[in-house]
Amino acid sequence: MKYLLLIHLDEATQPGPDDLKQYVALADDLKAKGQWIAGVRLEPSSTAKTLRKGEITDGPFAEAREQLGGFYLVDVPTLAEAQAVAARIPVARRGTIEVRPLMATP
Amino acid sequence: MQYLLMIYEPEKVWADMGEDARNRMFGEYMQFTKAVKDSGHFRAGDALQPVANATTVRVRDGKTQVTDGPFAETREQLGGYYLIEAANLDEATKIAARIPSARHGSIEIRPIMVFNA
Repeated sequence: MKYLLLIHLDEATQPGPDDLKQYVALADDLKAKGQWIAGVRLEPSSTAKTLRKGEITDGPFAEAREQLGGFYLVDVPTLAEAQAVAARIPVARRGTIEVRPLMATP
Repeated sequence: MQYLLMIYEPEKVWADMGEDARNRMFGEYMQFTKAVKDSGHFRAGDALQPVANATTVRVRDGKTQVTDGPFAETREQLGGYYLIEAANLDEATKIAARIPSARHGSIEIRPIMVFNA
């Protein structure tokens, strides 16, 4: 089963060198287990544009205390395992990880 | 340059439309996906299950807290995304406008951070 792990954090607190090491270690571990599909880090939400009914506005879809900073896409057997991976993302210690199962592709 | 196109729309729209309309919408998505693959813009794309199936994970003081529901309750919900390659924001925006849900929902366009190895 594929899960999207959406990483929300207060952009004012950017990951430090220790965090980055842990990100690399987590990605390497997921890759070794064949659970890794993709990982993406986004430019800050100040660079976001939103298209609504043909109109472009500056900024993200929704203003929130924490901002979407990136995501992981993983393939693990159960939701519990997806949540366990989410808990290992360094930002989980101060931000929020939303776990969303993907729709099965026909 | 890569851009993430996030699709926000009321989930209700899909539940409320009849089966014919839903099939037409699926058809339009398949056409759009094929078109951006053929043009070389497509990198990835996925549809998400409804937010009813979302959970959120936080780790505080070494303990993992899992709660039901999405990160934030919103009028429109994240239903899927495309990751595309585009020359610039203008091109990314034009592609975003062709996503079928752009007619009734919102598409957030975010550049992907590039790491220089």
